[in-house]
Amino acid sequence: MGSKGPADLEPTVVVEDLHVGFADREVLHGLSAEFHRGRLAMILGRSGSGKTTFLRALNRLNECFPQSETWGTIKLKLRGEWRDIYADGLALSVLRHRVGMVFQTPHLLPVSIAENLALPLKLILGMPRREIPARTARALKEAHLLEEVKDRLKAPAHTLSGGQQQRLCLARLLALEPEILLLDEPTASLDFRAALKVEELLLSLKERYTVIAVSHSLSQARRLTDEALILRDGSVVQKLSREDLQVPGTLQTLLEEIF
Amino acid sequence: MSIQREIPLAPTAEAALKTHWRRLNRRQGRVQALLLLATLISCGSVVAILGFLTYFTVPILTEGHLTAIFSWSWRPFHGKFGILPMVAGSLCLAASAMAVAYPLGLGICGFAHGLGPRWLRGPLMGLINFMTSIPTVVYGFVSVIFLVPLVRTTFPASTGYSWLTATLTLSLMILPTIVLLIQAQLQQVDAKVRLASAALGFSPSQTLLWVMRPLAARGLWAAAVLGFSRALGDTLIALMVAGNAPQVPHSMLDSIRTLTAHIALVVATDSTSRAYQSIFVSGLILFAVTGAVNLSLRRLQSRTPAGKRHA
Amino acid sequence: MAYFLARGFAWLAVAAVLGVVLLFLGFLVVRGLSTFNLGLFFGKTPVWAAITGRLPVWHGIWPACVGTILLVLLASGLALPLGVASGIYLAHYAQDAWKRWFGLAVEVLAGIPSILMGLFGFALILFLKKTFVPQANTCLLLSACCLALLVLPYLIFMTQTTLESLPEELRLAGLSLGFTPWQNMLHVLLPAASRGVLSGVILAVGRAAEDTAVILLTGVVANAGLPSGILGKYEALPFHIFYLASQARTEAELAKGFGAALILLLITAALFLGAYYLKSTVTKSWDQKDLLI
Repeated sequence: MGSKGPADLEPTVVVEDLHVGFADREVLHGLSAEFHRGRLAMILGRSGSGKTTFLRALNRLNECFPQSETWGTIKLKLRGEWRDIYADGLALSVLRHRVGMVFQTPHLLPVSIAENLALPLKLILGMPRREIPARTARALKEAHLLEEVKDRLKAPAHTLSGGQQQRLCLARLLALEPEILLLDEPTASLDFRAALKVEELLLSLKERYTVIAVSHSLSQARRLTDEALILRDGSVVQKLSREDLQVPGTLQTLLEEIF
Repeated sequence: MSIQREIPLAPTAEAALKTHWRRLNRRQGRVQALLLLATLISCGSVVAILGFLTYFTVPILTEGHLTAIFSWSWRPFHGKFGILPMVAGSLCLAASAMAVAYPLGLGICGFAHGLGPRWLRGPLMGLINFMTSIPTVVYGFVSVIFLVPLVRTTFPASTGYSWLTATLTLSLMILPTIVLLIQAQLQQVDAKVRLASAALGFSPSQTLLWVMRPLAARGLWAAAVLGFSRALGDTLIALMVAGNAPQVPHSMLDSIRTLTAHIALVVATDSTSRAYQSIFVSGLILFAVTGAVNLSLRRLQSRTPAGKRHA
Repeated sequence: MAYFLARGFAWLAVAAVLGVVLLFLGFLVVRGLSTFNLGLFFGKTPVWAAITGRLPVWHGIWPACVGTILLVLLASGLALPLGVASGIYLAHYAQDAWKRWFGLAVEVLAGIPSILMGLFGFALILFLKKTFVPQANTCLLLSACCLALLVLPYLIFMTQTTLESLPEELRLAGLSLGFTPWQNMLHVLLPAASRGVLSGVILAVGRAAEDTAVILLTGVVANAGLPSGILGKYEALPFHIFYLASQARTEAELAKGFGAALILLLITAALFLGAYYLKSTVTKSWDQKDLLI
């Protein structure tokens, strides 16, 4: 699969002059970027550079923290329509399930494996009970998890291993049919092999979704990403293509400059 | 191979979704309104209590009986309705109970934090915690049966229903409050300084006396203030064993009457409206004092973990 | 020197308090246990007739037990929805500025002596008599309302603190999926906080069961028999003990007082232990969960 250049594609996420602050301290200073469907974009930067805040601006999750303020525009293409998420009265629950998010550590609901998938379907989509098992199975399969858990769907979700938990979180999102996936260092809490499995899954997902991931691992970025955004102190300092990342020299410079 | 081709996604019916979300949105507003209503009722009750006390006190001001109420003689059949003896009684009893309970509380906390053996700490704190669940009326009952005769036989001049008896019983009741407050503060301090002071070679008891005690000053104050307010607010023990004579006590063996017991007694013995007026003034005084205590506590405790949500 | 004094004093304090409390409990248990029999509850009335209320009970504490149970049920029924809803509002809905004022009000409410709750009820009846309802009188319902005010702060506080101490990830998990705040509360946060809230409820029930000052002013009487309804007078265990402490004429009546006191103590102790156990499992279950993640 050859990667298409941004020029051939219409973006699905457009961020213009985004500022985010918490209690008078500005974390993001006028950030602009575009992201495309079918591509995996990565935000790189050291801790405290505003990566996570940027990601949380895209599903308005910053508003769950005290005294957060956001200026600027973020436009998303949802169900074929451009929506300005901070301006046009899009309900939060609609935005957030269409822009799914995975956290650093698996954020499970304290219920069974099956319920972790079923509860959001029931509550957010109002899905009838009889349709839920099919949708659940499909999502688990899509997240490469079905074979491992199909015999223990009633078990508490936290009995799964770390990697399985993280894939369960992804399955939970996929069941809701999102269009954009936000991944906040999804492999940070996992061991090497579990991380590889999740990476493999991400590669298979980027075909159908706009995937925006945060990472602090350059080698991971090299393996996965189509384009990278380097953040420092709340501003974009560099944009790199896949090819840029493969050049050994760039990597070295990056390592010295940011990490 | 992309999954898309294997399992086609069925588009969910958008119209049905839209009504579902509209319903969710409406419920959201309703729920928030209900929660706010509940909170307003809960908090409004404070205002209502203060309001009623004031409402029934106002006639005293307009009829000019205030000086009569703030006088030193309570003889309802002679038209004298002074509540100052009760104010004195409340203050005396609360102060004396604190004088007994507070040092004991300090001793117990010290014991649990280095001055006593570690193995006794658990059972001791368990017992202190358990003491919070003993009903006040049970303290009062046992005191009437056990302590009152004891005081009477030891000091033949007294009937046994006295300031002394009430002091001893009440101090037992407020002890857990004091201990648990100091203990909570010590535990917070302990977590911070234990390693550092152990590294300096201090023994646990030295740490307690010279490192932790100054740091725990806030907890010590809070315990004193809250313990005093508990003692002031108690009704049953004072009512059951203090004797209830409306007088300023001259010795620990004298009978006294507190504001709280006064309220209970006047309501129980059907009296005149002037007597009723005096209990609402008493109520206002109690409200003001305990309210002031809580406000000062709020300043004292910079609302640690509970107040902070997103640390 | 100061050190040895302090150490000596600490030992003395512990010995004194331990001695007094154990003596106190021992005295109560020994004197109380010997009175435990059916006669303590029902006097000379046949048990079944007494329970069904067909025959009045004269020399037993049965009516007082029933009164206390009804009182506690009514009071918790009133306080529970209010307290939990207020706790939820303060934990997750209130704006910071409002939260401070509401928190202040709850703290003041928690500090108000119970006799003032009783006086409030009494004043309410005086007010109603003067204005809208001349036949208003103190009764079971009034006591329950005032007791509800008394235990309200416990419920609010326990609900609020348990909700606030839940891990952040639990709150974000649901919200990031698109749950509305209320769905997140109802299906994720409240179930996770249920043990903490329940221990608050139990403590509140214990407090309502033992309080005497409130009911003293709002309708309890010594000899009402079984309550005729929520607008009638009633008997209650703590008041019964209070009454017997001053009015017991015979050794038998005194023994009844001991029996009643021990029963009340057993009830509040059992509730206390239940709440204590629940609270300890709250922290434990979260610790374990942290290990697994």
